[in-house]
Amino acid sequence: MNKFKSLVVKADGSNCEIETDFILRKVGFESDIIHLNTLMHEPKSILGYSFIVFPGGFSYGDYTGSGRIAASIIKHHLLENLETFISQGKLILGICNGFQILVKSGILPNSSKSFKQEVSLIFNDSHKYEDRWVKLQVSDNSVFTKNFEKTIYLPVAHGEGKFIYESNKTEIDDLVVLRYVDEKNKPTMKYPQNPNGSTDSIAAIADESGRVMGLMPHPERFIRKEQFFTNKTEINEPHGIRFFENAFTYIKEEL
Amino acid sequence: MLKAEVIAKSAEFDSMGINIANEMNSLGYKINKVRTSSVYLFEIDVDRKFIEEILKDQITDEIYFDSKNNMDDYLCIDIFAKRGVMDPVAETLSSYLKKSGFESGIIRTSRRFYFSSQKKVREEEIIGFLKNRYYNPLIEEHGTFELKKGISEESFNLIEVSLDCNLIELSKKMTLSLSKPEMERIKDYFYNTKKRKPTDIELETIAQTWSEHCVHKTMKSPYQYKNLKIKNLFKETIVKATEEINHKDAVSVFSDNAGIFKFDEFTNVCFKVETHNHPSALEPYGGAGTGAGGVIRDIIGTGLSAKPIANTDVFCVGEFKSKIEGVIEPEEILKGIVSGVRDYGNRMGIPTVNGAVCFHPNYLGNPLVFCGSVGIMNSRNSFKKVCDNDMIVVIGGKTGRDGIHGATFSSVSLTDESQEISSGAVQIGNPIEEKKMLDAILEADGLFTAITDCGAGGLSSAVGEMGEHTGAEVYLDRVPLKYDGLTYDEIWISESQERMVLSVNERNYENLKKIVEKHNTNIAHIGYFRGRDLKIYFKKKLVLDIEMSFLHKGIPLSLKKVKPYINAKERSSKVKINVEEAAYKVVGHPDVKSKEWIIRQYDHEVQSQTLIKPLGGETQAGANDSAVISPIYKSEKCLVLGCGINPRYGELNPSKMTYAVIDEAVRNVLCQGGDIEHSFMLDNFSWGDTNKDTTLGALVESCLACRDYSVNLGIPFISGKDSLNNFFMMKDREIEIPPTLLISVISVTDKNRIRSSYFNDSDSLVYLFGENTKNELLGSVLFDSYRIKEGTMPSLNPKESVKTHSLLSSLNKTGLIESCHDVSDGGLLTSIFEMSLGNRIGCNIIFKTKLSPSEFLFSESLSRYVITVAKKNRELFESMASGKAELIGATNSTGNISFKINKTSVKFEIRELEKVYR
Repeated sequence: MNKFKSLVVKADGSNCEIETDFILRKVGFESDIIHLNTLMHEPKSILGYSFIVFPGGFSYGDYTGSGRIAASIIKHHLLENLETFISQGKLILGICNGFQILVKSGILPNSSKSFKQEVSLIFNDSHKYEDRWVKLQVSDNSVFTKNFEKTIYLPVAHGEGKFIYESNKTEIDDLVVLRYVDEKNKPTMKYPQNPNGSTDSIAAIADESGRVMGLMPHPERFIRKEQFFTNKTEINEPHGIRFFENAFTYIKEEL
Repeated sequence: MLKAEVIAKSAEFDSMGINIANEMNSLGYKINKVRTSSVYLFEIDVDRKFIEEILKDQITDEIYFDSKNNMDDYLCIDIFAKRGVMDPVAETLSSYLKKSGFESGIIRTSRRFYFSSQKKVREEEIIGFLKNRYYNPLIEEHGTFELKKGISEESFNLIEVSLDCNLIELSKKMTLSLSKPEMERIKDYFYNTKKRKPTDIELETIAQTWSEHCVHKTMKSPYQYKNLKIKNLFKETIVKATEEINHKDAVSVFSDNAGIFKFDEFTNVCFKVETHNHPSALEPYGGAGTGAGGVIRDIIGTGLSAKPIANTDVFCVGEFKSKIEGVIEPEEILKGIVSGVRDYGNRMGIPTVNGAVCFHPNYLGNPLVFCGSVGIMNSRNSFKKVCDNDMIVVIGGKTGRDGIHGATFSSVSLTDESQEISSGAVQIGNPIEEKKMLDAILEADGLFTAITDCGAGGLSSAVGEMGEHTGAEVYLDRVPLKYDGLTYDEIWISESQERMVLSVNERNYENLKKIVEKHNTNIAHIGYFRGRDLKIYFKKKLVLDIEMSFLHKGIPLSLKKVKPYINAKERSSKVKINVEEAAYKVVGHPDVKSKEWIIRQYDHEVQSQTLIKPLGGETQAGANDSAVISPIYKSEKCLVLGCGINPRYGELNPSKMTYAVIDEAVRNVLCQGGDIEHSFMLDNFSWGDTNKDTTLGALVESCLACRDYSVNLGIPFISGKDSLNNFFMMKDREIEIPPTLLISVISVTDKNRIRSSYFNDSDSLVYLFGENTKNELLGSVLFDSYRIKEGTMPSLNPKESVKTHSLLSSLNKTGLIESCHDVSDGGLLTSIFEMSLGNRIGCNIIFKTKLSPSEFLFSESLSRYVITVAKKNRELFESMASGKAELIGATNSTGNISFKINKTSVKFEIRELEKVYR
């Protein structure tokens, strides 16, 4: 089996699957896009991959809450195989709507190991969808966030990105991989640097293993330098690519 | 039956409630708390655990099935869709439950609002607040929320209509919007050729096909204007210009759902802009949303289908805080249309990258909504051809009773009763349905021979149009329906959204069906393209039988004798206004003010191809003139999209307005690095009362100006659209919109030429580039701010302006220009301020001129740009700019912009001007 196979899981209303597939191929994966409708009938097929990405979009319109119907399909049809997939040391990444799906299906952070929803992403404080670039502080708590500078820039575009949790702070603190920061690089609750009012400025978390991660910003939208929102700040490389490169490197070295 | 209510556990999780309470209190309502919830009714009791899982957030929500929540002290109001109106939530739920093996029967959903206040709150008062903000009486109702049974199927009776009556009254009664000569032509056809009475569906079909919306009869009519005789206005102006230019990269013009041009060796691009004015006046959210959905389907239905890659939107609304009876207030209209376009574009995953908003008092009763979409396609997919005996296939959403008579309704004026009586003409979209359909069509490449969308006129227009040369035979019982009880003519002309018609060779049908079903959407084979005539069957009975040639060629076009528009009198007059005071007024003028609150709500980066975004710079507030999309990663080529529009000029002088808006659109594209030799234009006319000979005169004048400037620029028109009769009838007077022309320009250029509009270096030279600045302030933002009505309008010499634009286009290839912004609304001072804002880089401008400082700084003379160049490149740039560039100053890092014009000096802190601008 080719261990560099990645899978982008599409649902009705996903809309970032093509660019996500594109960047996966660019960093070396052999990538497939498969619809949940197909996967629910062949759930075992996911075990043929090493990396699963849940892309951004509005799965099932997010009409009953973001990611909720997709999460329900996953719980009823894919969970058993996903559990095996994770136990095999493989990787899962959820971007924006994909993050919402992972959280609502209990795959992330899954501290209880029982796939119960533990945290949530709810409507932005502004109650509005917003597209803007944010500055993020990076921790290397996940395999996706190794070898970054302390802060990076990425665009966010969502209406339901406010991260909240019930458990205690220290437990969550260890799982946080990206936080919204202000111009002085301090985690912030100030709008618009923290665009949605996320608790503790949290923009992304990973599970304990660091192999399952979800983030609200869109790394697949910053893969060329010309996409950067300003030409005043110098950057060495577009900050979105490394998330995917790190996944490739991890699979190459550890799997 | 099962009822479920989902509500946030605590008020802090209810951001909608918090926002509504703030909004109400700011408007003077004394409200303590607002809470919101969602209520669902299921006809059949479904497994509660399953329902809970898909409706309730474990962390933030409570769900109540039978038990009551503890909100008894609150006033509770339910808002829910009227019967027959699309409810995307119910539709999605129902489809998912069915797929999971649950039979739920009918599902209805409601948004519930709870209000608490120290004083007793009156329900009527609250409804008054909700109305047109969170509740539109046209499509929604409030009151007892309960499950209503579907209406049972009525027995089927074919209705024949006698034409021995007052034909105009009949046209009105049936909402046919046909004129007397047209009705007489129809009577002649049926009574003398067919020797029988028409059926109702036959009349409806002809009315749809002959509607202004579908056939553009006003634009195609013969005209007499002064001594000028025109046989076909459209062909002799717009089309003529394109023929004269004969651009080698124009692939398909004026014939398909969008204009197509060459992008590179293997790829073509198509572009279309549509108007959706009347529906948006009545139901801004649904009207604008379906406007976006409709133009996206135009792109999907161009050639053998293109993939939409970018959207544009332009809105014209009345001035805020003005109000008349029977219409929604401008501010609520604007919020509604922005949300509509946002939800459709964002959910479809198409970036909304370019647009504009203008304000004018005469848009009060009749706002304008222009929605555009750009698509990309393999070159081999650029043309379609229906073959004899191809199957007629409908895919996408099901057909319901929504949007009956949209095409004919769009051709009549709005009145203060429209919001009450025209409910059928407005639809609500379901973007996810359209996304599924798009995904299916893209995957089905090669399996169909032609495709078009069901827009205005529904199946009647789509099938009628596709079958023009082959004929068509349709079995209406095969069309998938949302519910029982639709009559045959309702099925045929319903404008239910998210449907496309394809012609398919029989051998490909099964493959197509598999793909469509994989994407969870519907497909039905409803007939064949054959037999030369249009024949419609319902329950085995022939209900319509018309020759295609009559349908498409039968419309009588009468000569229109028109008079010149009464242009504003121009007179030169000296202008001396305090520059400092004027600067704050102009920068804070609604037309100039930042549109950031709108732009942020649009996803402008999905698909990961957007290079230049609407806003940028360190402040993320620096406005760019146009957007740049790079649809093919490896290609050196990219697309630049810009537009021009100006209702203030339109009201004063439609011909000069036309030159001005074409000039503006071209400037916007060139600022970002566009290439004039590979640029294409779209025209969108939104005009007033076509019963007025001067309004039609203005149309002729504008078309002639389009032709003249297009030919001079060498930029051809490739597609366009007109929307007429945009006026609002009150009991005692008519408010007619100013002649409004939207020009959209798209340019193919090299990636290495693109740049942003704002200053990016604090040590550069600033040039004023292009034509001379004249005292041209009539119709300007400055004059609008001071209500001055005497002066001279901007006008241009096409030959000279073209020299300017061509020179900039060739300078774009050199890399000498660091940043470039045009001078338009608000004049030079506004341009300089906007350029300084992106990175808060200051500048110092020193210039001597015969004009007064206020004339020089606020004049809106055309064909002008502000350009910055690195100091080291000064000589080289000046030698290449051959007299078109004047050095006016330099950038600096002071955080101020200062001007010394003749002996007058003024200085502004960027942050101070920003306060009124943002």
